[in-house]
Amino acid sequence: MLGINIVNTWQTETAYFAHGWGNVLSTVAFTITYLVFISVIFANVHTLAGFTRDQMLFLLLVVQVNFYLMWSWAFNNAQRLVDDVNRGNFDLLLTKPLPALFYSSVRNISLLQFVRDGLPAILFVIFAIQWQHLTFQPLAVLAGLLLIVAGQIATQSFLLLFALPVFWYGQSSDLLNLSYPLMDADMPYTGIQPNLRVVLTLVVPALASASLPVAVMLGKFDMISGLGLGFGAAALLSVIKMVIWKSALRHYTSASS
Amino acid sequence: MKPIITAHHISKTFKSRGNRNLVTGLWRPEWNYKHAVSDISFEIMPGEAVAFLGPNGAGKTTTTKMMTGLIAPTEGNVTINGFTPFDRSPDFLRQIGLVMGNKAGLNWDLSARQSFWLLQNIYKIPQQRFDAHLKKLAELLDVTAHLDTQVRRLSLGERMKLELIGAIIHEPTILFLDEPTIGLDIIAKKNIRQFLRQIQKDDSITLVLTSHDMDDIEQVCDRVLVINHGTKIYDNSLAALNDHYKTMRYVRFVFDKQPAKAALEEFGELVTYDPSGVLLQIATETMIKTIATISSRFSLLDMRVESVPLEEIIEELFRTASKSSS
Repeated sequence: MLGINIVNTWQTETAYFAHGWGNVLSTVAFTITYLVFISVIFANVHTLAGFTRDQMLFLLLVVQVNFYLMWSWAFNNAQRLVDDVNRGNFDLLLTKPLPALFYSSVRNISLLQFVRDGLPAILFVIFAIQWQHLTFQPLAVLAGLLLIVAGQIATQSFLLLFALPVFWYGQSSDLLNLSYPLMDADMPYTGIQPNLRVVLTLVVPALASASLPVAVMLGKFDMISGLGLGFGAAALLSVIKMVIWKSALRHYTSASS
Repeated sequence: MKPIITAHHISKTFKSRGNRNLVTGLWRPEWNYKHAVSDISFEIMPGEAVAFLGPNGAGKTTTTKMMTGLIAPTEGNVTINGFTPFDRSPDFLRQIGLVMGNKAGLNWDLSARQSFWLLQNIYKIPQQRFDAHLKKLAELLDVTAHLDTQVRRLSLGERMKLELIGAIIHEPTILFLDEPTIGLDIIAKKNIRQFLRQIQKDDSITLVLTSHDMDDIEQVCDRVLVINHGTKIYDNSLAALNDHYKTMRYVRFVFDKQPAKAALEEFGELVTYDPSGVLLQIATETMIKTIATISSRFSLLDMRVESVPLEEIIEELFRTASKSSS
């Protein structure tokens, strides 16, 4: 089903000539501006919240990868869910023998959007980093990659919570837009006060998908604690999402025909 | 034979927020309650074609939604082939198909064939069976040439036919249709009605149809269930409904020189009066005598006897139901 959805989304995205290339220009412009901003900052200071220029750029890289990943599946699907429930098209999904929550979460997996919109901007950051100035431990990198996956799950769950009020109130696009800061919170993990750090990982997972994995990969945060926090956030928010999803389906009234 | 659908005293009440003010709505929501369906019971046998009929807001679509498991009844219960629809068991969902005239199941940006490929995988239909069934359905509905066209480029009629194929590609035992011919031209409507009749007969599919179009109902269904203000006011065959109104006939007269309204009203109820002719509703038992009297008094150019149209019958049903409830 996942494969078919990816192919169907690809077919949808390539159905129109020259569609979506405006996003590439927009993201490249954003990245260049950001790189200039970082260069200006680090021309005056050696470290920021314990992060050097290259560590900061590495954080930006992981933030960008996460942002485009999140955009290409979680946000697109949450937005589509809101639209479908609002217009009553969700009826046609609910009458299919599908696990509705899983299917609603993976209906649009836009690989093209990730590659086309995300890759050029990501390449700029990759080439801007002086990799010889960064040191990694293989185990820490592996833990960091696992934490990125856990962070994606936590963020997707949290993001869906912003979409689900549509089942009660008929619309939640506006609420869903609140989730933008979650997808590109590029703050050095160690620069944040410890209690707030836990809240921003477990409760509002703004730091779960990029800041925490980067801190673990760069050896700036304890690996075991990091894994506990990251996977704890994924588990906790997934359970909350499932409970609220069940309640949402009970409240679904469908749109009038 | 056991019924395939059983609805036992089902009711549905919708709760909505009356106070939409962002601030005061939090502690003073003022809930409104709308009783969309009140205590309806019915049974549908396998292979039957049943129409749910009623004015806007009567509760037809709500009843369909309860039968398809989209919403749960507030009271009572629905059973379909042993399943409770709202449990949305995959085995139940594989047995039903749903067509909604104003909602799109096919992806607008893709061709119908690309959307059907997704359906094939959702319902796990073996390739050979899928190909054969798609070919048969596309030929029956004359849309083979449109299978590979992007859906947004198709006419409404072509799109609706393809939506219909999407709803039955998995060979359901029950097909729910909500206004399937809405907005279509006469030819497309006719094709869809013939198709529905054919699959009902050939494949013994149970059809549950809601429509405002009397022709849909007359040409597709054998039984009609009339709902008004959420309650059932009639449940019997279409033939029985027509028989009930056989006591009345419509007679259309075209006069050489049209008489005044007052001169005609003594013969029966004047349904229409315009320069092209007059339509009178006359009691069947006195019809011959009345026609003879009219033709002896006035010079007639033409005359035609018609049954009371189904629309009028249904309207009369609603009037009778409203009177008895008040």
